Parts: sequence; structure tokens; C-alpha cells
Amino acid sequence: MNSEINTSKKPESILEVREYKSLLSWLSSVDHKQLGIMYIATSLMFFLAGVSMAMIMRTQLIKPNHHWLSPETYNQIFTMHGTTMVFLAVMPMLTGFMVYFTPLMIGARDVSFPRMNALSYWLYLMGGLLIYFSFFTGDTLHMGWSAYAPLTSVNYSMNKYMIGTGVDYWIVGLLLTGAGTIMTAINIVVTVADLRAPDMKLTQIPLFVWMSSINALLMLLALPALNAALVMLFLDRQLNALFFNPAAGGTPLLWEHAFWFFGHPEVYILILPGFGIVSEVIPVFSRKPIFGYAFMAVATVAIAFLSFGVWSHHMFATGMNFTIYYVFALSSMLIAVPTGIKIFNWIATMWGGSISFDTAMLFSVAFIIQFTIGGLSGVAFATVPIDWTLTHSYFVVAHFHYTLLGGTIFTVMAGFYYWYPKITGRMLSEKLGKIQFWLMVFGFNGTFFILHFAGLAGMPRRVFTYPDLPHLATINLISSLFAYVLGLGILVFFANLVVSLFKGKPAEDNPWGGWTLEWATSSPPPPHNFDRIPPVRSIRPLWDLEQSKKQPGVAAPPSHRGDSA
Amino acid sequence: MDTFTSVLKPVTKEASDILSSFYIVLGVAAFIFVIVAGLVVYATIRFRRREGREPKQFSENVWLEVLWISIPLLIVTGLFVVAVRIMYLVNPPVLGNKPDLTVVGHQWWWELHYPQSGVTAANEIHLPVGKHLLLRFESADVIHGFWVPSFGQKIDVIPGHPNYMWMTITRPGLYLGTCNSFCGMAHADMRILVFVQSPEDFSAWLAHQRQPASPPSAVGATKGAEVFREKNCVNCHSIAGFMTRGRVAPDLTHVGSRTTLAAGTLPNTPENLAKWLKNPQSVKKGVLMPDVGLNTDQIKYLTAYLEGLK
Amino acid sequence: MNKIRLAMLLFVASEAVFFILLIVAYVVYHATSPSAADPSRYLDIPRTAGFTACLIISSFTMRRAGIHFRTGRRRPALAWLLATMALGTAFLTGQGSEYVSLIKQNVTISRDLFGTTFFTLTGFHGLHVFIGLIMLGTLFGLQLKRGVTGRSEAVESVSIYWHFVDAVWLIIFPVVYLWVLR
Repeated sequence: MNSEINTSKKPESILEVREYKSLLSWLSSVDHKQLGIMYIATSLMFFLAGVSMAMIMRTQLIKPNHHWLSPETYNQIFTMHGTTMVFLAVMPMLTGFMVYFTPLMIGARDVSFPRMNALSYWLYLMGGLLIYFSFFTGDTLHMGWSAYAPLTSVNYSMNKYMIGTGVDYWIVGLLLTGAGTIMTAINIVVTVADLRAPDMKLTQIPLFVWMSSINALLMLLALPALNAALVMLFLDRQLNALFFNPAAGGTPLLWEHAFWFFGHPEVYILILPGFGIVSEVIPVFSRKPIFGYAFMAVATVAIAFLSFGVWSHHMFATGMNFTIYYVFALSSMLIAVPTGIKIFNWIATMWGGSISFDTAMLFSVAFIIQFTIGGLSGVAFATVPIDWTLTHSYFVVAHFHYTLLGGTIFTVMAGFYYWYPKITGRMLSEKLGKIQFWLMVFGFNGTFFILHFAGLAGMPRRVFTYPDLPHLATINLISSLFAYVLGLGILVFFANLVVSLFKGKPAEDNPWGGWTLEWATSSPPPPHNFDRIPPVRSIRPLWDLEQSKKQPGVAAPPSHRGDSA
Repeated sequence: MDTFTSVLKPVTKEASDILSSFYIVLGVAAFIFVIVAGLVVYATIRFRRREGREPKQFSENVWLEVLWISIPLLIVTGLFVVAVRIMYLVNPPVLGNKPDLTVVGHQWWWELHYPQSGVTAANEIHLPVGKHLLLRFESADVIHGFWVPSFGQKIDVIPGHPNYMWMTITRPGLYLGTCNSFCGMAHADMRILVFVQSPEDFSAWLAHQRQPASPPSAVGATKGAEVFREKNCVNCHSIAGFMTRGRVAPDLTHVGSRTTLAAGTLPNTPENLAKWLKNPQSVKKGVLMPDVGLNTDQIKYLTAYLEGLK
Repeated sequence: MNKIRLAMLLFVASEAVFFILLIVAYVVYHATSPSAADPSRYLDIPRTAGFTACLIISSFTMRRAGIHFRTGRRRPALAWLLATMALGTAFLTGQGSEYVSLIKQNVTISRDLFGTTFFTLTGFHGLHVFIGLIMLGTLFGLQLKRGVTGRSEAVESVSIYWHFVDAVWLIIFPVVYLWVLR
């Protein structure tokens, strides 16, 4: 197709793009934009499942000594909730944004390995379905998403309601999705190394791309640790290997080390792209460039590097040598510093700006405050004796929901409101967006802030019910009621997504006045992404273009053809 | 009797030390939060979009970066020092010290041994107030967690990896805790009760626990002992001085004197004991005790016998 | 900038982490727990050294093959590639016969920690060699049919993978086989 002359009418929404009309085009797609949408759509389905499970859990916990759900049902639900949210909802949602926007933001036509990109998606879907298939075996997982051995590695089969074959489905499903993730990681790094617009230096890539690349390196080096752990667990279960068998000299601590060596970088995998999203949104809606680009980039590298050196802070209560604890306490404290750098740089970006509170910006601002709370409770856990007291209680549940929900999910919402117009060619309803935002802010904080106190009041995590001890009934009741508010907010979100696809206001190429390259093409982009790419001389190519247009007599450097590989 | 379950009401020296470090961190966190939230809120108000204002496009200030790197760095280093100090204070090395109590975690109950006096018990812990006690933790199956919030720290109970905890309890009372590391179906029903007594009362309790089981005396208790024998309960449960063999289930020598059954989940009354014997699963789903198939009379007699084991 | 070579380097880095964890498991258990089996009694180190040598030499033959592909000399390239495959197969055969003899001596994955960690570590290594052989075979088949062109990114990348697999063995061999001689 001749990209110089566009003879057909530009499609107003993604539903009108000729190349995307047939189901086959989606099933056989190697187009990063279609795959990105598929990642996001699939992850939203899993997200809905995870949210439903959360609502069921909060209903079970609404009062003490509640026997609505049996313990085995509840245990399965909290395991599936964690597994779903981490592996099947949040990570793929972020991957979807990474896969969709990385090529666009560097002026490329697609990723370096489009077919491998497709394979990654299908591995994710199949792995996820395999994990959910365990529900049909009547024996689904009930061990927590961290699956500690020897509960999971030996079949204490005196009681058939103990750990059963669900764990095997979980293992194989995760091996599949993990393979897909590693492939995506390779794809992203090579794409950014190889396919940037000819004049885009590495120091000029948007922060979302930078953070996605570092994130990809994290995925590359952390997922194999999970694979090793899963392999050992599978061998223990299926071939009676002895990795985690204390009687034979093995130790459950090996599982914990291997799992958390993956698990801690994993939580940074779950936030870095979100940091990237917010680093794009805040400047655009403050009408100023991101403050401290270089420091933001270096801080990201520092976080990635340090994230491999903190894993044993999940094991402070396991009775290991204090020397080990000193090292990991120090590294866990240190990792707070580069995160703090980002928080202050985001605030400095807003400072002196001209801030417009569209929904994307609202979510970004709430994120800053909420993530700070999550980070601070994290610092409490880095203080080892406090960890000794509060780990495995609802205090830690509050902590990680502040970072994952108040943090990542809020950045994802910002990403949706920012980029939905680009992806679909339609604006999301700002009215519904604001309703969603306030429901989520009140719902989320109401549900989870008070859970810090549940932990202080002595409530452990992963319990299907709790005794009527002081304060626990009140705390849990309030938390559950606010959870329903949060759930409502999420429903409003889904309604907005669907309604706006058909009835949303048509979006221009650049509805927000953004400055990065994805805004230099139509909404939605044509399958080949760009007709022409503006010259890149800084992290804000469209700003520079605008400025050069304002200065008559200064010739703008030539733009590039969009389809140069 | 005082009953506490909160981290904010410490009853051990160690928990008080830890709580003081918590308040330090809380103070620092509150300070940082107020600054961050304050700046954000201020910025959202002061720099709202207004007509005709083009913001200055500044985006770099190395001194600011240095500021907000160095101050947090100092803060976290300070907190690290606090952590190290308290760690050592709270858990000095065990060295050659012998434990005062060994707790063995099972799915889903606690086996107790007082090594210095040879006492074996289950589920309800008694400890003397005011002494620097050493507790040792082992697991018979999966990873459990021992947590009494008023005592502060929890410790994981890991098979093949015994752990230790020091504690100096400063006031007598009943302190409630729970298993704190997911250990399977009945994890939520694995509670901890710690009766902290004066050293005299504790010694008396220990002396009593050392006695073998009282012979059956209540109405129907003799028949109950027979039921225990016939049904081979001893394959799991031991009663010192009567029948001893199995140790995979709680020792029942003095079960009548316990205030609760089923690892702290059921008050110990004849009605509840009968309910348990009739169908353990209905009380604590997942428990490894099978439904032995007792008829009503057998339950009556066995209840009488067991409740008599004070 | 060769995108396929970069991709393979990244993949190899990922696999390296995987192997590091399995090696750590082996080392920790070997160092800390007295294994029921005394490995030195069961391992035939001279034989293993033999098929180790095959694998090491195969890296050299692979390098020669790569050079000939780059300079467009089809026949020598294919010959050296074939030699690499033969040596790789010799390695796997040697490993297989070792497994057979170990199992005959009742050393299995479930008998003790040595068996568990040994079979897992060497087994996954062997699996990677096997996958490497498939890659080499595919290269061979493609070059046979289509003839050599100047560019050989595929050959370079497979070469990196093959060297990696060799390098992993160069760690496993001393850690597992030579260490037991202490």
C-alpha cells in the first residue's frame, strides 16, 4: 500500500479499520497493535474474574465466624485471586501497553519479531486457561499464590481435601505464560535497540519506552528463576524428587529462596511500566516536560539492579542468619531511595505547570499519593523487627494492595484514559471517568487503609474467617462495604470501555496535545503505523515540531517516511 | 483476666522494643507522607490550568535531585541502624541455651514439650511471667507460623529447620495468637492460647501436668475409657498412665483441664466435646481426625471420661 | 546491529539464570547435607571426561563451521556442522549411558538428594543439548537445500547457543564430577 497518498477515508474508530474487521485477522495477527489489544482485552477478562473473587472474599470476611464459604472454597479463591491478578491480569495488561506503544513511540512499524510476539500472546492465553481448567478437576489450587513447599510438594493425602492436582495445572500453566513473557522481553529489548527512528538516540526515548525496556530486562532475568522453582516443585510432586523434602535433607527454604528471587523483581515488573505511563501522562497534562529525565532513567536502572538483591526480605521471619538479614534489610531500605527520586520528580513536573484534571491526570495524582503510602509501609517491613511482628498479617495485605492496586492499577487507568483514544479512535467518557475515579479512590482507600489496623489488631492473612476479637469485626465490616464501592467503580470502568467504543466522541490524532511519536499518527493508527515520522531531536519531537513551526525562516529538518524498516 | 491480641498492646520486653521502633518508623513515614501529599495537593491547587498561562518549560535541577537523594538516603540509613539495634536486642544468639518450651507445629494443632520437666501437652501454653524464656519451634509437616501479637514477633515453624525465639513476658494474663503461615485447609482454625502465670502458679501447673491421667471416676467414665481402648484412639492420641502410643494427635492426659478444644477454636464443654466426637469435620473442616463412628452412648461415656482427665 | 544475535544473547542470559538456580541447588545440598549416596562411588569420571571432551571439541568445530559459512565455502561449512552434530550426539549418548548405569546402581531422582539434584541439573543440560542438535540439524537441512549466502545470522546465533550449552557443562563438570573427588 502506497503510504504517500491516502485515497480512502480515514477510519473514525478501530471498528472501521478494514484490515481488522475479520475475526481471522485477529486470530492470525502478528500486528503489534492487534496483539496489544488482545493482551489488554484478555487481561481485562481475567481482571474481572480476579475482582469478582475479591468481592466474594470481602463478603466472606464481612463478619467474624462467618461460615458462608467453606475454608476450602475460600482458600482456593484467595489463591486464584492472587495468581490471576499477578500473572493473568496485571502483568499482561502492562505487557499489552508495552507491546502496543513501544513501536509507536520509537517510530517503528512493528516489533522486531512480530510472529514471536503473537506466540507470546497465545502462550499467555493458553497458560491462563490451563490454570483455570483446574477448577473443572474439582481439585483446584489452595495454597496461596506463593505456593510454599512442603505444603505443595508432598501430597499429605490422608485428607483428600488437601493439596491436589490443581497445583500441577498451576505449574504447567505458569511455565507456559512464563515462556511467553520471556519472549516478549526479548522482543521489546531488541525492538528498542534496533528499530528506533533513525535520529532517535537512546537518550531521547520516552520514559515509557525506557522503563519498558528495563522492565523487559527484569522479566528476562526473573522469570527463569520462577521456571527453575516450578520445575523443582513439579519434579518433587511427580517423580518424588527431594528438593523440598526435609526428611531427605532437602529444605522448604530452597523453594522460598528460588520463588522470591523471582518474586521480588516480579513486583517491580508489575510497577515499572506503570511508572512509565505516569511519566508520560503527568508532563502532558501539566504542559511541561518531565522533570529530571536523566535521573528518572538512572533511578529506573538502580531499582532494577537493586530488585535482585532484596528477595530475602520476604523471609525475615524464617529464622535465618542475622548477617543475611542485615544485608537484605540494607538493600531493601536502599531501594526506597530511587523510588523516592521518581515521586519527587513527578511532583516537580507538576510544579509551575498548567494542570488540567482530565481523568488520566486524576488517576496519576492519586497514584502518587497512594504509592507513597505503599512505599512507606514497605519501609516499615524493611525494618526487620517490624517485619517480624507484622509479616503475614493484614498489614502486609494492606501494603501490597497499596502498591499494586493504589499503584499499578491506578497507573493502568491513567493509561487507559490517555491512550484509549489512540487505540480505538474514540474518547472515553470523561463524565463516567470522573465517577469511576471517585468511586475507586474512596472505595480503594476505604477498603485497604483500615486493613493496616486489622494487622495491628492481630488478624493474620489467608484465613477464611476470624474470631470476634476487639476491633476486627468493625474493621472488616468497613473494609468490605468500601470494597463494594471499589467494585462499583470498576464496573463503571468496564461500562465506559464498552459504551465509548460505540458512542464515544471521535478522537483526533492528538487529543491531549501530547509530544511523543504515537500522537504523530491517526487515531487509530493505520496498520503500518506512520505515514511520516517527524524528526527527533529530544524526548518531545512534537513539541519541537510545534516550536519550529512558530519560528518562520527556520527550516524544519526533513521528516522520515513511516515505513522505513 | 486480661486478654490482649494487639500488636499495640505489647506484654513482652521484646514486643515493647519492637513497638518503639514501629513508632519511629511511623513518625518518619507520617512526616514524609505529609510532605509528599502536601506538595501534591498544593501543586494541584496552585497550578491549575488557567487561561493565558504558558508554564515555564523548566525540567532540570541537579541540586534538587541531590537533595531528594541524600535526605532519603540518610533517613533509610538511620532506620537501618534502628533495625539492627532492635534485632540484636530482641533476639540475642541462642548459643548453648536450652529451650524452656518446644512447640511442634502440626496440621492443625500445637504439640508442646517442656524439656526441663518432661511435660508433654497440647495447644494451650502456660508460661511464667518475668523470666527470659527461650522457645524452640519445629514442624512435623508443613510450614506453620507462630504469632501472638502481644508478644510482638512471629516466627516461621519450618520442617527440618528449628527456630528459636526469646521472650520476657511482663504481665500475667491470657494472650491469644494464631498460626500465621498458610498451612492448609484448617489454617484459620489453628489458634494459640498462652496462659502467663506467676512463677509459683506456673510450677504448680507444670507439676500437675507431670501427673499421669486421673482414673475414671465420673458416671460413665469407666465405660468411656473402654470406648477409648476399643476404638484404638491410642493410635493417634496418648493418655499417660492409661494408654500411650500415637503422637500424631494432641496428648489427652489432661484434656479435661483445657479451656478450649480443637486448637483454641471451641470452648471446652461436654456439649462441644460431644459435638466434636460425633463429627470432627463439622467443627473444623479438614481436620485429620476421622469420623470414628461413635454412637450416642459411646459419645456420652467417652465425653465423661475425657472431661474427667483434669 | 544484528537483531537475531542480540535476541539469542538475551535468551542465553535468561537460560543462564535458570541454570544458575539449579547449580545453586546442587551446590547447597552437596555442601550441606550428607547424601546417602557417596557420589564418587557411582560416577565414572573418566568416561564422563570422555564425552565432555566431545562437547568441548564440538565448540571448536562449530566455530570452524561459522567461519566457512561467513566466507561462503559451502562444503567445508556443512562438513564442520555435521562434525559438531556428531560430537553433540556423542555427548548425549555418553550421558545416556551414564544415566543407565546410575539407575542400574539404584541411584534415582527420588532415592536421595544427590540423585535429585544430579538428574535435574544434568537432565536439563542434556535437554538443552538436544534442542541445540535440533537447531543444528535445521541449519544443516536449510543450507543443504538453499545453499550458503553471505549473511549467516542464523548460524551465528545457533553458534552462540551452542557455545552457551558447552559453557554450562564446563561449570557442571567440575562442580558435579570433580568436586566429589575431595
